Amino acid sequence: MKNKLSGWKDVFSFTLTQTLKSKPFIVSFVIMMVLALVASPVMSMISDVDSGNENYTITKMYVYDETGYFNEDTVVPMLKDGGWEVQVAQGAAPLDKEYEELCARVDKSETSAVILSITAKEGPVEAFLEYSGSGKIKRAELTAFEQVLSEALEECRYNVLGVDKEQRELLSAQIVTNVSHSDINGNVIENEDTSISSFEYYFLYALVFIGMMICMMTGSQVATSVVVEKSSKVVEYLLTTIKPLAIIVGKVLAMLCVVVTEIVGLIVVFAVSNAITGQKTGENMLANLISPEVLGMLSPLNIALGLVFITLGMVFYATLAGLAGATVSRMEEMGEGLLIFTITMLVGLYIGVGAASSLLGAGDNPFAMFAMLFPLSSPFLMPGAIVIGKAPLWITVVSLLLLVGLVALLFWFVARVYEVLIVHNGNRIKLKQLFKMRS
Amino acid sequence: MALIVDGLVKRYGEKTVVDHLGFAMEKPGVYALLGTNGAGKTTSIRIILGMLASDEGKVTWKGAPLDPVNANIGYLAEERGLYPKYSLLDQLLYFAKLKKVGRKEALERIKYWAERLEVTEYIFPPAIKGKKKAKASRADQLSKGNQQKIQLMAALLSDPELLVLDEPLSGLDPVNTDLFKGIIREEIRKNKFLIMSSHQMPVIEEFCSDITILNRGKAVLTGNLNEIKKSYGRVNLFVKCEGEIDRYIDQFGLKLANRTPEEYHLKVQDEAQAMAFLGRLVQDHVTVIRFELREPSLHEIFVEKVGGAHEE
Repeated sequence: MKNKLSGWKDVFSFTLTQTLKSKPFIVSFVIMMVLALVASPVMSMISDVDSGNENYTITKMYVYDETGYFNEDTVVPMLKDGGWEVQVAQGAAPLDKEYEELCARVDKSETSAVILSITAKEGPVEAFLEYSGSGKIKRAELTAFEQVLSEALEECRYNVLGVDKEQRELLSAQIVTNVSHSDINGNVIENEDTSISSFEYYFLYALVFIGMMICMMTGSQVATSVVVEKSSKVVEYLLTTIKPLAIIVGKVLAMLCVVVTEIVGLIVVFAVSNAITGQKTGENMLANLISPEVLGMLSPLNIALGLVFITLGMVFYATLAGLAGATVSRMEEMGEGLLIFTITMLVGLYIGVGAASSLLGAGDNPFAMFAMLFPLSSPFLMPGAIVIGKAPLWITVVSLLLLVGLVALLFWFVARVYEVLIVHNGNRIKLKQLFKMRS
Repeated sequence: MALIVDGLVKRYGEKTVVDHLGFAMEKPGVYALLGTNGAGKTTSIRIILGMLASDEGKVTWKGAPLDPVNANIGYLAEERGLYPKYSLLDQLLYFAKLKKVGRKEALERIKYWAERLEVTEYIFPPAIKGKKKAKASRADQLSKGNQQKIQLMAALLSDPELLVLDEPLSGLDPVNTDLFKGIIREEIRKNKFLIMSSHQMPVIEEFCSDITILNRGKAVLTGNLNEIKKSYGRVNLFVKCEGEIDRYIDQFGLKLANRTPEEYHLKVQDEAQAMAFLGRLVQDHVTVIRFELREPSLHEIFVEKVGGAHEE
């Protein structure tokens, strides 16, 4: 085995330095770093636009109310609290000619005014807002305005109906029903709600995709490197000095380092950018992005375990990609050759995404457990599942063992077929032929 | 024996591509592996170099199974291989490192071979005014011949004991062919073991003492080239005379192999027949300008051994 791996360090250092020196890497790295650098200030600017109310433009509201609920003394203060200084004027009935003239005026000259029509036809109270399409009023402002207005009108209705605050609280109090079952001794067996929150779901979902992207990046870089060596015939020279297993091990580890460099670079640049933006605006964008619920669950052990899974996943998928790359002899055939790698990765991704969704809807369930144990999906799912506390210790250990076992099995298989595969020239080797092959 | 190739067999499914190949190299020199395209030369070389595992047989080098990781072997592949986008210097240093040659030593050797092969400007380009250092060229910026030179450099960097050259001169212009030949001669003088595969028979005759001719994976002829030639006898007669000699050729029943405006190439049964033919020409006062009786060329032996079987 030592002889078979002899020289992997040379392959590793050469592949690493050449990849880091290559133009495609430098260009993509610079683009990613620039994006990470500007992400925080851009998000801060966007959030300013979203949350800021100094740009609110609605100053006048024409009201036509056929319900009698509208009360200016209730509505105007509530709108003021929301950020609008609104002057209320009497509107016209929607079917009148006068109403058409009002609409034309609002559209042409009074572009900062809106027309509110409140009707109640055999059912719920309906409020219609009309505004000038050519004015400064933005859709986002209208949405916020509509929300405050809706609350204000509800308040007005309660006032008209004479419902006081206490009665209102009583009316809106939630009725909770609980179904429980008890054991033979009459003790209640509690069914714990194990479903995850939507914050946890988005966190898990994002990590599944990030994991998949990392493995995809590593895999495709290893496959490209293998195909370049095969198509340029350099591999023939290399094989007079080192064994094929040493080549693939050196390459996989080098690409792993390249991807880790990219990720670490991204994190560092984003953190620096976030810190600078925070100093300027007094706002921590990172804390806004990740909920405190999830942040609270992060611990060094969770992060370390998550990194172990993702690293093993990278090794597995990169080795698989290297094997798939070695089945072809020409660059043009690479897409076809990588089919097995792509399909395997998609299987892992879909199972991971499905498990995340099932955890949101149904809590702990057999499918989610399977996905956490299944070595194709565990590298994507487990880092997130560990952080949100959905992976108990025994699942983490068994999943890790299964993943290590699969990586070892793949290495054993690669060691068997890679020697023949790497010097093969001609048509792409199909899966069936691959399994029949031995060195 | 330094190199023993013993009963190598390689099968791909039902097809046997190398069928009990065996030869040995006792002392330094050049051994030729000949054969038509697809005869199994490259596969045999790959097995000898340890790139491919054989189904049967073994290769021993200096008494032990040949281990390419530890043995010092140089290889110039038939299909040249260099990283197209990487700097030539970087790749040569990498290849040297794989052969366990230290960086300082490697740089000295690269400089030496770059000068010998006249490619210094590509590996150590002169500094450009205003720039600190000029970058070495990439392989895809070089002509095919120059790429071949870099490839030969890579094979020689570790000063290998065993050098395997698969079609070393194919695609080279006459000037570069002479350059390569000079280096091969130099390696022979240094008492190196060389295995060479080529379709250029005159090159093989120039360098090789022993040969194996492969046909469809099987060795159809193995041995010392001079002895092989001797065993055929001197049956090639080249005659140049003043005037026509066609009637004499007919009289003696000689076979006309080729005829140029100036010369006849005839096939004789033995030396006695050739001498009788010459005696008759002299007796009839025919002016003989050239009369050369020699053994068959390697080209002829090759065609005889492989051509017939190839046509089957």
